[in-house]
Amino acid sequence: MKRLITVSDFIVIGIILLAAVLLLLFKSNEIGKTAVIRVDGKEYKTVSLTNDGKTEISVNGVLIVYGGGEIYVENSTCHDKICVNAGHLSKKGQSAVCVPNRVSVEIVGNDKSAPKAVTG
Amino acid sequence: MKTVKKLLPIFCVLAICAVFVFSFVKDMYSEKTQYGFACGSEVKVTVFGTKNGEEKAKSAVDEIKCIDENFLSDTISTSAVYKLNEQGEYTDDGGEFISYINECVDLVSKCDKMTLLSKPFVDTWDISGEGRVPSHEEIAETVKKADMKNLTVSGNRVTLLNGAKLSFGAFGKGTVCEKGVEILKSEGAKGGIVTVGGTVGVFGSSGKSEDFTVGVRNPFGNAGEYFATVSVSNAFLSTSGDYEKYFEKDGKRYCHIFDAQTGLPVESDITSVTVITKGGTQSDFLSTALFILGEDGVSLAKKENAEFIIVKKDKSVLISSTLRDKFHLVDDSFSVSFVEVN
Repeated sequence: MKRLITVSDFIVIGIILLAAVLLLLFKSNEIGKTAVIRVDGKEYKTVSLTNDGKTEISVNGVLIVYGGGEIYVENSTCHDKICVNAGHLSKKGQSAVCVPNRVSVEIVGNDKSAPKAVTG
Repeated sequence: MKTVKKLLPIFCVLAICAVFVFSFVKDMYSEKTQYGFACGSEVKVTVFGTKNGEEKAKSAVDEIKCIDENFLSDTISTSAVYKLNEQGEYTDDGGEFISYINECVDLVSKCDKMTLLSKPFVDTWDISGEGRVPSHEEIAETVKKADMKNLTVSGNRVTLLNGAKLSFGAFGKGTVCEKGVEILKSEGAKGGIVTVGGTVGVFGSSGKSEDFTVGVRNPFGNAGEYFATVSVSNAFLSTSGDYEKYFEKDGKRYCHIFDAQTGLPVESDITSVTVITKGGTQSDFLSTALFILGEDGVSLAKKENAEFIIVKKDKSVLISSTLRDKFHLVDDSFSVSFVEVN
């Protein structure tokens, strides 16, 4: 009589289980530092900051540079330059916002100790 | 042995299903954030532990934008304020706008260095543009226009005299923040955070407790950097400072907050003021008032039952004694002292 479950079946089931558990862990624990670029409040692009080289991206008149663990607004067509003055961002929660061009950059991650909001 | 072998695959399938169901439910109730722009600031709304949190956050962001576009903005041509400034008068059929103006007039009367008619300051100094230093005559002219006597409310009609122009710059962000919180509550959100520029509103529970940890911006650091945190529940926090919106001419820094009596940008040893109260409009107003008044504003804060964090340019920090257990210093280069408010 054919066996109901073989060793290889067992291995396959084990791998699937492991994959499911890992998927769950990864979902709640994003690995590496990432930043989200938003236009008009909608996500435009999520970029990884772990690459050594610098990458430039131009969005709505805002020139953003990222890589080497940081992201910053290099230049913008706006008058107030608050986004440029926000400086180089490298920690979770830090953000640069260009209100005139409706572009924002924010570092995201899973740092539980960081506050959920900052006033100022 | 055979039964075990038969049950094993079923068990495994069930386990996998359980993991996915758990993941799905956890995701459904996890915090959800939506963003937008209103009142010349970024708007961020986060909902905690609530089904369809994303939709609720979205409706709060949309409502905030809507209030700005229809009522509060002094730059969007569809708003009541814009029409009032253009025509010198405005009749409010709904009555809501008039009662809001009255609320703000009442607040402004508590600080004689503040005005609701601050738009001529912002425009004349070109604060939203490159920035310029006007002549003495021009400044004197703006002070006349900013006099609150130029604003009259009668029934459902508001009138501006002598070229006065209204701006809710020191109130609007707090007001829409408060509205955002109201909307989330009415839609059944268990807890949430609404941020509009420098004003943060927190309510309900974040899941574990009713205390929310909110960072207080480091005025000497980058955006999003905080020098301390405060633990608050069901409250609004507003911060006014000279470190973000300013321009420089001939090595001198001019900030965006004006003393209504002199018509000049505020110059003092204070770089930022954070106020914590139960209302958004109130906290926004008070942070501006205290920034202008400096330490003289402490008595106003006491009267309004508000807690404060005043950061001076020498990195010394004055804090309400009632915040003693809620305040946590993160950056040791600041020196903290408590002010008795009881």
